[in-house]
Amino acid sequence: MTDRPTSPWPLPQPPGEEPPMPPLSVWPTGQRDPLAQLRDAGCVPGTETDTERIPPAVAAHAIALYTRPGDLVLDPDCGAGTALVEALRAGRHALGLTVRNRWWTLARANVTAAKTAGAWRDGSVLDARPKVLATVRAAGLIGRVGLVLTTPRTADRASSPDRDPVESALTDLATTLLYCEPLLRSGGHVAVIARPLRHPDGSLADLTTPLIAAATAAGLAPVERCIALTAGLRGSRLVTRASLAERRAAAQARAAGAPTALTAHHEVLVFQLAHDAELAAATAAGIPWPNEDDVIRPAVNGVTYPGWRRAA
Amino acid sequence: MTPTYGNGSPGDSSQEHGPTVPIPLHQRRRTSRLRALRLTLRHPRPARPSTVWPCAQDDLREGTGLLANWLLTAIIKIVTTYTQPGQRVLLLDPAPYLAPPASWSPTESRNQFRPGPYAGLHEAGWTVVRLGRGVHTQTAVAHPDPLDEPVGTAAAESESGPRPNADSPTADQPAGPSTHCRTGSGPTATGVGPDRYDLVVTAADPRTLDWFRPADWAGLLTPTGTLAVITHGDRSCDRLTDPAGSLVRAAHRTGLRYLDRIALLRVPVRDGALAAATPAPHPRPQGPARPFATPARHTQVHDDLLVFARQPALTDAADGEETSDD
Repeated sequence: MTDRPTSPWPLPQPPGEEPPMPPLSVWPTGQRDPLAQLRDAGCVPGTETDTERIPPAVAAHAIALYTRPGDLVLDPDCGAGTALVEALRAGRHALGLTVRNRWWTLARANVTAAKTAGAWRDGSVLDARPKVLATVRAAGLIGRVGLVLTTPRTADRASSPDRDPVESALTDLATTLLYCEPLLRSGGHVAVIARPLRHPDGSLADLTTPLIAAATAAGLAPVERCIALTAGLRGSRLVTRASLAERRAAAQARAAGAPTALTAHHEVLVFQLAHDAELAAATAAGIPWPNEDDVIRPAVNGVTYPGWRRAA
Repeated sequence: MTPTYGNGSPGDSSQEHGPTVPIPLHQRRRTSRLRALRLTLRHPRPARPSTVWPCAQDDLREGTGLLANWLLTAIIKIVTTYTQPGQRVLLLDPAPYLAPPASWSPTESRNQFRPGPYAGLHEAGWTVVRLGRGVHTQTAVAHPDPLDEPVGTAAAESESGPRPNADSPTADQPAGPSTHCRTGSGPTATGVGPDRYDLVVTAADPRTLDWFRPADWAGLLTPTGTLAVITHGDRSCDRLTDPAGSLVRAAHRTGLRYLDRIALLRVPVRDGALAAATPAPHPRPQGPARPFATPARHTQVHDDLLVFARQPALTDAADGEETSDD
């Protein structure tokens, strides 16, 4: 086999290892280059054509941090399914949705490959829009999902020339978050992995603000903003892995007098159900934590829970 | 006898090998001087900035009082990335958050000053001068009259020329003009108007951003100038408050372009890993029996640097910006 995983350098921390406690807000997830990460994850050839995939190391880190074995990981726009593969490899159930036939095929193949490699949890890929999550077909998922792990996708938009792809991707993701919120179990998280995106004029798109606004509108509370490195840490240095086109664009911007930075990270925004965030803050403030049996979702401090009503 | 090639007598060597002798000497002197200069200035190479900057690599820079090492490194990187030697830099330090705005006195506020994460920004003035940039430091305080224009909020200032041998940037004197200040500029800074800076650097706590709006200082930028704001997400309440939204909106209103958001690492990178020696600021009971809904909160080891530039930046390509400094 030509694409056997090879290790060109000794790795001090193999990918997929449990993150250190306490975890740092900067995730060292770029130790392996993107193609090596795909090989490590056992993804089928062709997965690399999904250029907006969640990097497997980032997905593995998020899954190890925010779920326990046996949880359900949901990617409502899963692309080629790298997040599903990492969930299965970590012993979590995985469910992905995608509307593109091409990604559906690849994601199915990746899930099959992961199960062939020994993962025994359930993994499935639906050929459906995220809107399905709001219908009765997803009724069995309500309150079951431990982690929603997704990323805004700009390439798969229906190419309408008058709409900015970044804006339409954010709008779609906002709707998806609205559908996903009732599915979260208590204590579940939503993690949105966002690559830094630039407008055609070279300025950076502010993804954080609209994402936080969308999640807040969906009844989620932002709790973390982390930096998932895509650049590798070598010795005491940071080695950027930027494409040739990106380096060229940066050189042009530099010549124009406004140097733009090469992408070395993906932004990770973590959300929680609003009442979970309140409870966590109460814990941090030293208020005694109630037992697991006491936490029944509709009765938390009399908070009216919008997702409950919508899901019913 | 075989020819001696001038090894035998010094008189012959001066004729035959005369022109070859001074060349290596000359070269060696030049490079050694350049290397010494680079070492003296500790000039970091700014080639191709990425969106993550390791800023806490060197433990022992100059032992300045308040300024954190990583912040000094970050300012050096900002200055060398976004300016050329000879350009002018403004270090803008917002006053402590708890300073009473009505009867503000620099000395009193200094006595009750509790150093925050960004304290002592003015101390970086020395370093900026050594990098060959002209530096100007100002302190922005919460003014009782919010309608005042931003230059009116400047309560303290000092300036040095672009010469590296300026005797003092006088960053530590918050009141009164410095000894070599330009003529006629008092602490009220009425004469700031015509001054333009190629880079405005500021560092502000997210709560300070309620009254301190860095975008208001965009009027002090040259047409190709850059505004750099160092801040971090606020997690003081139960949820995260991201400072980028309000900053970007205000910057767009004043005609600035959102150029980059860069993460500044406060922990060093050692042996290919992040060396985090600092314990969590809020230790929580984290054991195997932790409650099922307790989230794994991260230790914040990065700060955010938001970079804004003037709107039309693409037309100035032939402005001589690609010089050998970078």
